[in-house]
Amino acid sequence: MVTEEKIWEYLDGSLNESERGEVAYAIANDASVAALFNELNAINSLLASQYTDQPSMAFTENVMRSVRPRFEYTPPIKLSLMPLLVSAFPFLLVLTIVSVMLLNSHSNMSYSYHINTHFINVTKLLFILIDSVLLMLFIEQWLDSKRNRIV
Amino acid sequence: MQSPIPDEILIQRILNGDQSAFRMLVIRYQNLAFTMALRIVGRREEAEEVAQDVFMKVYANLSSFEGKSKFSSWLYRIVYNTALTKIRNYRPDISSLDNEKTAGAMANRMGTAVYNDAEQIFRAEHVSKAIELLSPEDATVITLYYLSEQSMDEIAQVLDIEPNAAKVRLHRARKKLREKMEVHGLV
Repeated sequence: MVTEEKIWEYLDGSLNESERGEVAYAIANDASVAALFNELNAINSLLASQYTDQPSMAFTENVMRSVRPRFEYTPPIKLSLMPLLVSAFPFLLVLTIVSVMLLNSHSNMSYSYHINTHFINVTKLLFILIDSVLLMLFIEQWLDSKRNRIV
Repeated sequence: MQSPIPDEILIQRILNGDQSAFRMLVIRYQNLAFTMALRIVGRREEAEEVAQDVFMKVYANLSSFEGKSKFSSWLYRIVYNTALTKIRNYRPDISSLDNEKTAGAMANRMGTAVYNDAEQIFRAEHVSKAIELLSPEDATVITLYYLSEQSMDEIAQVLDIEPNAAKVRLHRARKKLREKMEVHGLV
């Protein structure tokens, strides 16, 4: 008697030679065994053609982010320098304005360090400000790329 | 084609603090770990949480992995246990999944279109859903045997049972799956 379990083993290839012959003979000569074999073979094929599901695209990064602090910790450059750069920005801004004002002050007033606001070149100041912002953005991008290389 | 770096080498590199080696290991096993978790917990969000927890546990306990079994068997055992812990939080009676009382819910999940569509990919999708309806142990055995191509000994290690018991479990799981597939016209 060829059981369902025997047919599964036949499909798995885990039977010995004589058992394989016995099952093969039953499939060839017994219609009910052949029908059962066809059904199980179809299920086996479906199961064998299964594919793996995929987690979300962010999965790998999420895992890496969660374990990163456990690796030997080196503070990311961006985190350690950005606050410094941001806090230095107002100081740089004031320094720029004062420098421009001093440079444009009247030459005969140089000893008094009197600041003549009429001589401030607004266009020049604007360019310096834009340059400062662009420089900050550039530094941030550079730090980002450096951090990604480390990861 | 360059052969992949063996797990053992990657593990050694991770233990030496190499993050990129850990990333490689995650990429190598994330799909199967996620699939296994999904077939046990049944919901993508929870499955993803389980898989993420698994890799965190793997990293935290990697130094205690002695290499007596294959790394994959060790990893799948963590997936299995983590997923079981997860479903205890929202699925109070696991065994009820095999109960015929759940047939209505099952039909809902599988959809009625299953009776009309014969395309292989569509059927594979529904077979996958049918596997999710098995008990966690049965779903794990089927997944490991067919997707991960694990041997009976390796499956036995994952489930912490004897190899013969794993073989019996596989037969039983396939029998239950066949019944479910017959009910829903998949075979």
